[in-house]
Amino acid sequence: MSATAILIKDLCKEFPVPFRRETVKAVQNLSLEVPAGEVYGLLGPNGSGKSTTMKIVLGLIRPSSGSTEVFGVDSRRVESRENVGFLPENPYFYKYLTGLETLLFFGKLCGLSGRHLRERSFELLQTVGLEEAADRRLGGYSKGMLQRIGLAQALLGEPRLLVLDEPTAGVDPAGAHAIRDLILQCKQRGITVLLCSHLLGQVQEICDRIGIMDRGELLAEGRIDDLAGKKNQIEMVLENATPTLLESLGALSLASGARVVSQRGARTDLEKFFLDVTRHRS
Amino acid sequence: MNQAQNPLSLSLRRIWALAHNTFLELVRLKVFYFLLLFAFLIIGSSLFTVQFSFQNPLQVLKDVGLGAMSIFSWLLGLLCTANLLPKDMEDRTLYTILAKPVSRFEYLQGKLYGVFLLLGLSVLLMSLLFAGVLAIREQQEIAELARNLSAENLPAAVAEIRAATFQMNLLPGVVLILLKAMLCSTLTLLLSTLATSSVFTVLTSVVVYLIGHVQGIAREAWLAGGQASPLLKVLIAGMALAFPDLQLFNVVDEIAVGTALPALLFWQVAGFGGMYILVYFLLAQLVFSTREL
Amino acid sequence: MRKALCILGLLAGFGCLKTAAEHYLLTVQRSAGFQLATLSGQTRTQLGQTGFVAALSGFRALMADLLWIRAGSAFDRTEWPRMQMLLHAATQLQPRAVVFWEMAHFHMAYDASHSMRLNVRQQPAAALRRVAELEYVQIGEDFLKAGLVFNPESATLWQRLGELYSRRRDDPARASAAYAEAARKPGALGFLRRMAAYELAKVPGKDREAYEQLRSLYLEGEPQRLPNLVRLLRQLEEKLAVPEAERVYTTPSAPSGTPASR
Ligand SMILES: Nc1ncnc2c1ncn2[C@@H]1O[C@H](COP(=O)(O)OP(=O)(O)O)[C@@H](O)[C@H]1O
Ligand SMILES: [Mg+2]
Repeated sequence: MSATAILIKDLCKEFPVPFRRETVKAVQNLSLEVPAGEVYGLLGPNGSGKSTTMKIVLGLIRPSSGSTEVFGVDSRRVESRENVGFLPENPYFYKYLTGLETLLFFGKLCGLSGRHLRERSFELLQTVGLEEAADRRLGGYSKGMLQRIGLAQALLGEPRLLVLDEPTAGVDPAGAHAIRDLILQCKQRGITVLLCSHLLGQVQEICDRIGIMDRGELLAEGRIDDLAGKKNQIEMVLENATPTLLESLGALSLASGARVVSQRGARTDLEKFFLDVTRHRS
Repeated sequence: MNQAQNPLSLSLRRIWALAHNTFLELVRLKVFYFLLLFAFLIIGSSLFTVQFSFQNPLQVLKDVGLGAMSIFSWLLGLLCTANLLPKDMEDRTLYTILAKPVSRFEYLQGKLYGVFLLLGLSVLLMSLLFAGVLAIREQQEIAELARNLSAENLPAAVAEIRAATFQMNLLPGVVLILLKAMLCSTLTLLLSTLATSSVFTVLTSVVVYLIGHVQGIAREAWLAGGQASPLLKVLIAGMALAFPDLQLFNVVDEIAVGTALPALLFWQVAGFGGMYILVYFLLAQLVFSTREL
Repeated sequence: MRKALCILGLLAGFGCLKTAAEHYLLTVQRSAGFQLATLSGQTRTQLGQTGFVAALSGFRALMADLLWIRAGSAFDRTEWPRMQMLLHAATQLQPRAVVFWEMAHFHMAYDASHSMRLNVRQQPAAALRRVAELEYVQIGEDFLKAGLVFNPESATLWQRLGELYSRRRDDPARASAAYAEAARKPGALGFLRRMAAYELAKVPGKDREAYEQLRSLYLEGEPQRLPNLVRLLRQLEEKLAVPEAERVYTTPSAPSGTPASR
């Protein structure tokens, strides 16, 4: 097996504009490589070509030029999708199926069957926290629940590569947190993840590497620490610090040639506060 | 993955999962309610036809039933198929499905077989209902005869009614009705791979259905080579070449008045229908495989 | 572009093949008794626009029934020309329904023509009434003959034709031929051959042939030896002066020894 999970070479994609001569260049000359086991984040404003890139990687649409490979298999071949789980942007499933039926259906498409499939489906429903909604039709699911069933569906075939298009869009903070944990779990199990999101905070927490796209072009790429870490600065949080201590800390810094760049009263993270409150209720 | 399995059986399993899912979708969309209309029509006309004295009421009932079966199965297939692809594309469920190791060929087959399954079941249900109503009316006719005829004439008259009501010969005729509906569904699927709106699909499919029923007249005129303006000739030839002759599947009317359908002829017509389904399906696949989703 | 041309070429090829197949299937179906309905201008007028479309797309038999029922109401109002048109349209739509042809001919050659004969009020001249009567007999005959084109194996229609010649036209020669034809059809009833012989006996100069037929029927056995047949046989034996030894009525099974029972 190839050690490269995703290989994109000189990818271009143009969409024709109806009734016009011109085209929309959704992706331009994109090349990138995601090694197996890495969590890679694609960042970029709306319409920058992230979803298009993912669809091409999955063989859902054809590139105008260039090529993509998944574990060494060309994306245009069906086999390239054998070890892949995909969560589309704003996933939408068959409304008339229940949560469980949805998983059973997609499981069959992955080649699973029988007892094994049922067990796996129940397990995943539990993992994404939908066991109570398992027998309800998806027509009655909320956006976040759909996102979670989408994630469960992506994980069904025990993929080695997960492609997640805005996995936390429209999900409440608790759900987003759970989804983040799930992605981290996958990472621990050695699953490669390609995700895109515009929640930069989250991306920062889970991605090993990111690429930034705009208007179809990859503008920057690299490890998070390399891109966003300030190498010569450090943050420190103190509890019960007296003004005297702060004063002397300042003096000490100055004496050793360092500089206090900023100093402010610490707040708890609003997300953390929200999670604490809602967790105590239940 | 679980066990190593041969790719063909895996592929068949995926197609079956898709077909079953499509069938389930149609059932849960309550398309079977459509068949209630058929039930009303049959039961209603069975009550209504009692009044006719000029024509055998059982014959009228049979003609209503067979005609309705033909129209209903066609319409059901058309309406179910026209929306399948557009809906999956619009809801992006197609992405989720095709992101699994499912080829477009398998997907398209699954959809079509789901419709076929529904059509088969519908025609079966309609036939059963129709046979039930016919049996009840037959009993009524026989009871009526028993009141009016002397004992010695009765058995012959009863036997005559029995023979004229239930003809096993009708079965192959009904199979051809089903085949015609399947053909029209496949055509609709082909049109929906080309179309951008399901209104276009439905309208075009209806037009092809109507032309398909007069195509035979045009074709025979063309082959006979009569007097016509060159433009008209080209038009007629085009019509003969492009449209299927659907009239060839309408044989129940003659069977219902006692014409026997030779087995060879049945298989020839069935084979012809099967070939059309295959060609339409392959064309649909050709279009669908190159289509941007 | 080249790909599109290729596909177009393939489709045209397929179109030609399937057109040939369709033509073949239609021929086979017609010879098996299917696809014989004609939707000519007159039938179309009777059906109307909607009815025409319905007839084309699966409700042909039902449309024929409806026309038939409308013919029934024309009958109730004794509107004979209208009835004739409706009967014609119905039979054209469902030409394999023998009962349609049979009933259509009855209504024309018997009901309508009788009513012409009795139509003193509107037509005082007896000769003209007779002409009108014969016109409807002719229409009835035409129905039977058209029906026979679509159903050449129908014993019933041939029998009706024999009856029409015998009862409405006093043409025993053609009646006999029609009965004989009916007798040769599958499912024909036994009396048809007797009818053919009886009618033949009425044709001047055909005594010998009629006698041969009656004789061979008589010799077939008890079921054919009905009083009428035996009587006619005796008459012909007398008329043709058949030698005593060759006569059949003297056989023991003949009911009486006296030939002049009439
Ligand atoms: N099917 C399509 N047809 C035409 N244009 C498209 C299509 N899909 C995407 N685009 C265009 O391509 C660009 C990139 O879209 P997308 O990949 O969805 O962006 P992102 O996911 O980064 O928000 C957009 O300008 C969008 O309008
Ligand atoms: Mg997007």
